Formats: sequence, C-alpha cells, structure tokens
Amino acid sequence: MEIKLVQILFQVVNFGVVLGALTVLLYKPILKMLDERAKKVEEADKAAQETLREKEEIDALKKKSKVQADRDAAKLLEKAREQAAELKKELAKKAKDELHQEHEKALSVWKQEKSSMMSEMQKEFASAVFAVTEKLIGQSVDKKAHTKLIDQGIKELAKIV
Amino acid sequence: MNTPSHMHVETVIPLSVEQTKELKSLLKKKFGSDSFKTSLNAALLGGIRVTVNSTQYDASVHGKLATLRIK
Repeated sequence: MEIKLVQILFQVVNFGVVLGALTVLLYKPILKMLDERAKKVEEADKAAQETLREKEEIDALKKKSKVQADRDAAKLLEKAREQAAELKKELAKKAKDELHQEHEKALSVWKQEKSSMMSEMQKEFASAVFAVTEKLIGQSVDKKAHTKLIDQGIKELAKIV
Repeated sequence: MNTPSHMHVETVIPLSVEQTKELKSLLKKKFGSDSFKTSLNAALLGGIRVTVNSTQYDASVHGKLATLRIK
C-alpha cells in the first residue's frame, strides 16, 4: 500500500475545514443556544425563587395580620363581655332599686291605710262607747244623783266662766 | 263688761232653790246680770249647760263624754 501524503494532507485540510465549518456553523451556535437556554433557565429559576420569596413574605404578612386580627377580635370580645357584665349588673341593681321603691311605696300605702282604718275603728268604737254610756247613764241616774251633778256643774262653771 | 242680752240655763231636772240662788250669784258676779231662762234637756244626761249670748259653757255629762271622744 502506498501512503499518499498529499491525500492525507488533503484529508487533514478537508477535516480541518469541516471541523472549522462545523465549529463556526454548528458548534458555536449550539453552544450559544445552550448558553441562552441556560440563562433563560437561570432567569426563570430566579423569577421563581423571587415569586416564592414574595409568596412567603405575603404568607408571613397574612399570618401576622391574622394573628393581629385574632388578638383584636379577642380584645373586642373581652371588652364586649365586660360591658355586658357591667350592663347586667346595672340592670340588676336598677331592678332591685325599683323593687325596693315599690316595696317602700306599698309599705307606706299599707301603713297609711292601716292608720286610717285604726283611726276609723277608734272613732267608731268611741261612738259605740259614747252611745252605750249615754244609754246607761240615762237609765241609772236618779234625782239625787242629778242634783249632785248639777251642784258639781255649777262649781265647774265658776271655774270656766 | 257689757250686760248679756240673753242667758239660758239647761238641766235635766229643775234647779232647786239653793242651786238657783247659787247660779244667780255666779252669773251676777261674772256677767253683771242674774236674769236667765231655764229649760230641761234630757240629752245633757246630767250636770248643767249655760249659754250666754252665743257662748256656751258646758258642764254637763254629755259635754264631758263628747270631750273624751274627741281625745
């Protein structure tokens, strides 16, 4: 076999040209494309991470707001409970005072009525006693007693006239 | 003192002579007159009541009972 140097050289050159052409036309564009793709992936990754970070911030903020809102709600509820208890106490006191006033009023009315009735009864009793006494005296006093009564009456007149 | 125009004595039974004398003496001393009209009033129950003009002096049993009733 004869080694043809020119052919080898030609092949080498040929190879070099092809290699060069491939490098320029294929390898570099592909490399560039891969770089661009890598960049895009990196950017997308960054954007995703940024989004994730923002989401986490929002979640943290939401949680914080919820906690604060829960605290505020608990405070309001506690305040409302206190106010309700206070109102209940006031109403109970008011009702008790009103009841006491009504009781005092009723007691006063009862006392007045009792006093009035007692007075009326005393008057009636006195009238009855008076009527009975009149009758008894009218029946039991004789002439001698009458004379004595007139004498006593004249003595009394001497004092009152 | 003005002499009263009207004096009226009420009793349950008529006044005795002594009682009339005593009463006249009293009225003369107090009012300057011993002239009075007498009448019987069983409602007095006992004692005597004298009315001088419009003033009444009650020493009757009825008057005393009425005073007790008021008290």
